[in-house]
Amino acid sequence: MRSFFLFLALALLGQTSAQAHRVNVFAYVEGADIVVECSYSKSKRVRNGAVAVLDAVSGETLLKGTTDDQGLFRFPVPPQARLSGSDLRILLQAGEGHQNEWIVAAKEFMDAPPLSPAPDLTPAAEAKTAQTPPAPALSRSDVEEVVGALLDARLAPIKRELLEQRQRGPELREIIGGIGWIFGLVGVAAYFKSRPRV
Amino acid sequence: MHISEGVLSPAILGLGAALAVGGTAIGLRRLDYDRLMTVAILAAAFFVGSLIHIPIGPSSAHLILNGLLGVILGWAAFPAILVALMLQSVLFQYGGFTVLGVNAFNMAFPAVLSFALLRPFLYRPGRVRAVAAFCCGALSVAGAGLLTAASLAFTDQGFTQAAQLLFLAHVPVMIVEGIVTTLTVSFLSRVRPEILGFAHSFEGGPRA
Repeated sequence: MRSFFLFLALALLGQTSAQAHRVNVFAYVEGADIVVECSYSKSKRVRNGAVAVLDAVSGETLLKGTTDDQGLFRFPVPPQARLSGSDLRILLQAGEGHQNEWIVAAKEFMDAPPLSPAPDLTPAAEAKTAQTPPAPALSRSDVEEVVGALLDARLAPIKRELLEQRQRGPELREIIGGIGWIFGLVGVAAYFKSRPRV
Repeated sequence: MHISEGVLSPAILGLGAALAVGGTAIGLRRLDYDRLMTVAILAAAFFVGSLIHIPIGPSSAHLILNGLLGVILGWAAFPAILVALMLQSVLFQYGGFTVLGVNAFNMAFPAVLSFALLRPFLYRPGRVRAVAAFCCGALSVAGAGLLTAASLAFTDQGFTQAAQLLFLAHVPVMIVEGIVTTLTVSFLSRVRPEILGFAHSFEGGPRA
């Protein structure tokens, strides 16, 4: 009996899959990549969740993967999506019947650079591009590329924050509202079940 | 325990919906006018219970309270759970509207079943009743896990894996719910025996 409980304790400790009500998934474009974040709640990440990336129009599966320990899955913008220009549907299956999806609009990734540029964006370089007029060697598209990459990198946390805001859990307002609904419905039932007074 | 939208096949969704409607119909027919408030209070408890998390190691699970509803309400647990789950899906986005029937049946049926099976023991006051109440609470959670795994049997995950994961995650919940059910039943049988149908009929003669 003791060994059974020991086994149980070990099994519970080793078990990482969390039981929850629902999974959250959201994705954003960072440079040439799309980052998918999967979580059960603010602190609890989805590990080893199966992520499938589908073409939202044709329904064709473009690529598949699993999330890492931080609940992240990162993939480069698929070339097929660039060609077809359709949105990407990201489907997360976290097991035990938990599933959710997120749509990345085509316009978000169409102007992403084709390859991870990994630009050397030190503050000095930034200051230089901002202050000195573009040297003749620097073409307009070069500047656009550098500024675009820099803006992407700077705005990514803000974008992420905005998306995360949408994934809030139940608030007091909804909880109280739900209880109110229950008592309201019972009130209706009581009305119909009440014996008419003679 | 809430299965998400888009996981199950239409056949299972339809079956779950039909069974939930049947159970709810029986529950509503057996529902007494005098017990409406009890149903409301317990439906509200079920609605909020899912927000209470029990931390266990790296994982955590939430209360279900279906066993408690089964013990106190009997068949009326069906409409109570259905309404609470519907509000959870609308307000919290837990589960989903099309899976409502499956989720409601998965949680309500084991509760009603374990109450029906253990009812003779619940009539006896004292330790027998306490043990029976504990079993009602624990078995209802186990049964809900089993039915959820059975619903997932035709998905990628398969029955065995889903059942294993669900069972392991819910062992602490089973214990906690067993204790909650025992305490509630023993408290109510002392203070308000008329709320418990079985305690009432034990103390005050059989009741239809």
